[in-house]
Amino acid sequence: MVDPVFLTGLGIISAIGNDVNETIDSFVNHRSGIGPCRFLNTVHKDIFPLGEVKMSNAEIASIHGLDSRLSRTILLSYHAALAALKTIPSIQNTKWRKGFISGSSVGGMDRTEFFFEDFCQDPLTGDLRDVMNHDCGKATDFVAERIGFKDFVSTLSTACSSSANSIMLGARLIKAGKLDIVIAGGVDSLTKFTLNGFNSLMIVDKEQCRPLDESRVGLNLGEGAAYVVLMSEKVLKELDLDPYCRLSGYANSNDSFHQTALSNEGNGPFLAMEAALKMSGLIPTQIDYINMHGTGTQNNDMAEGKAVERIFHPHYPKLSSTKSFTGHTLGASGGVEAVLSALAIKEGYLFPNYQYKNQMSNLDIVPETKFQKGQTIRNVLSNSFGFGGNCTALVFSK
Amino acid sequence: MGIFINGVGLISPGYTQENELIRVEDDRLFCAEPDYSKFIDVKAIRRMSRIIKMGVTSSMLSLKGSGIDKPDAIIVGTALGCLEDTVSFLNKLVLNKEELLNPTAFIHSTHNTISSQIALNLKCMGYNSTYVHRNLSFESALIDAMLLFDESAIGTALVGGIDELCSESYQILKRLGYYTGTDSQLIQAGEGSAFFNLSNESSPGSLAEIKAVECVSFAGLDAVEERARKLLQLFNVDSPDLILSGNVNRDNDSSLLMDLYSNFTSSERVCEFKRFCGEYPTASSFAVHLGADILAKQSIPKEAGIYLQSETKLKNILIHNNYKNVHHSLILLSAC
Repeated sequence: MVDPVFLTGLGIISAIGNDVNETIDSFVNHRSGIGPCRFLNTVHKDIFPLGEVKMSNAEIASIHGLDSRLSRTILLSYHAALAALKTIPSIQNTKWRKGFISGSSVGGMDRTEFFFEDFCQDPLTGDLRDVMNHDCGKATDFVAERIGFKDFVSTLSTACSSSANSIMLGARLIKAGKLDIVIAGGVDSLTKFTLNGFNSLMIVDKEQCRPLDESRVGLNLGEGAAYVVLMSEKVLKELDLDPYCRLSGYANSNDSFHQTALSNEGNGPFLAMEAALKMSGLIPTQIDYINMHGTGTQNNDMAEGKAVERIFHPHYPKLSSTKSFTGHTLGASGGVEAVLSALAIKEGYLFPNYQYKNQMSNLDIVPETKFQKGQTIRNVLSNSFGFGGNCTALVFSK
Repeated sequence: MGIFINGVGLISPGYTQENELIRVEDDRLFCAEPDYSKFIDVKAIRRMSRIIKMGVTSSMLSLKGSGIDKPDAIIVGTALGCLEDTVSFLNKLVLNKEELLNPTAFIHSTHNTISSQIALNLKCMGYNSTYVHRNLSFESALIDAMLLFDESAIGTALVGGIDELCSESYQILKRLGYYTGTDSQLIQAGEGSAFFNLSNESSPGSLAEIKAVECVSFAGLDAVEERARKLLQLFNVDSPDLILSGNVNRDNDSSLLMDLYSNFTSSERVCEFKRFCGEYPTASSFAVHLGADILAKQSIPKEAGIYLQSETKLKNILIHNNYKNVHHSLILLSAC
């Protein structure tokens, strides 16, 4: 509990809202953001529902006066990071050392795959403006430069745990005294590359996904960006801010079992959760809510469920997978779920699963089914697990 | 607290397999690759793309003889990740019009495939991460490792910088001007995989110590100069014995960089390391290998073209890398 790191601001855009208010409104009205896609130009349009952000590139670009030819990843990242920045008082041109850390798995692939339609016919063709933003670091640089967070800039890519790891790094840099304020989180946009990739693995549901439900058959892909503002106690006091919560624990572990599947016993998830809890100084019964990774695939939900059992049996906290509302936003999911965790603590919100019906066989866990306000939520555990066995758990505390 | 390099594993165009620095005159510099079957199970090799084979093998080379079979952390910096698999899946996606796709290339296309394949190979369940931030990818990985050491979270770490060159990336990056230098001269395109077995404790086999890693982003050369000065002061280094520079004669910045270096040492002590490994975003990892090699052997390879008259010990090497003045990095290496 030495050197606490506080979370004082947040920004989010996903299929269930372009800002925090719209996001909460979707939960209040039990409205999933997953549905027919409007913007992704895929041949599978009519087959797979997606958690698409409800704005076109041109619409997002016009809000911020940006070029609509930029990758959707850049546009989403800028939208959410700017929102996070605006939730704290103006800190431009101050003495604070400020960092921007983002996580992403696809980068500017949404434009690159368009470029490749020409390029793979003739390598001298394809509009270079569509490929110049390909690398994951480009979006981070674009945003960092514009919001003036330039003392440390970096990008992580650990698949679906990317932004959980970026939040963890941000906190560690603050604790080490290297930075005062960090905006950390992540972004991913929907692409044909990821949709077809996950489809080739046969883990995409053709209907609304059902995480933590016995009838689950796969995930729905989503997109979005979400960032949190992290700062030291010293900065918090000087700026006289009322924080959402503290980041009280975090841990990263590798499942080291398979490139695209978790071990049956959820060893990596178990190690990450156990170490994060240990750091937070909490015992399992002090966790009031778990925001599960809960993708809706057979493998993840079974392995994660087993790992949760190993730690919490027989006293389970309330839990849910908010991916049943947002879809799986991949590299952004740890950020999206960190924002929801912070809101759960600050506002007493309890987030449910969308249309949950059947308990998973061989597992005790049962998710929440109704959104509730006014709950006492002191400690939240948020899980993010990715391909390559990259498992990260974060603990947020009042 | 410094971090010790207790082992290195390098696959690069700039070193022969006999560990001799070489210079190849070509537009494109590809790695001198070893016989992977000496390192990796033959069945596993067939599923691996070139970059994964290079990463897994160089990670094993760096641990060889150290007695460490499971480092406490595995951290990889790769700006462009698994390009060959990414391009393969993209091509099939377009040509097959999104139908009948095989998942193998997709599975191996994610940037973290290298760090996770290394973890799988070594059965490491510890800390594992991948940084993908342009020419600060490897530096980010080093900074993460140094934080973990400072936090006393780990005692050993495997840290690598790796990027591959493929024909599609070469065509695209060439069109984007990545390989165009001053007077439209072509800059040699490169690639490489350099892994380091790091510890907070020195051993008799320690090659060098990494004193500090600093990044300077979106700031001019003045800011770089100031940071370098502070860094050298902090470690009581009057003048580094050698500067390994990532300069490639781009945008007429050569003379500006030489001016910068002249604040710290004389021009005959500056070696432009990309002449050996070519231009790629994680080339600074090659420079760390070269610097550690020089400090450990206490001699500068003839190929480097640097002939120092003094016979005093080579103590400190400063590595400076940058790409188009956006991100600069400074790494200070010291002899053990």
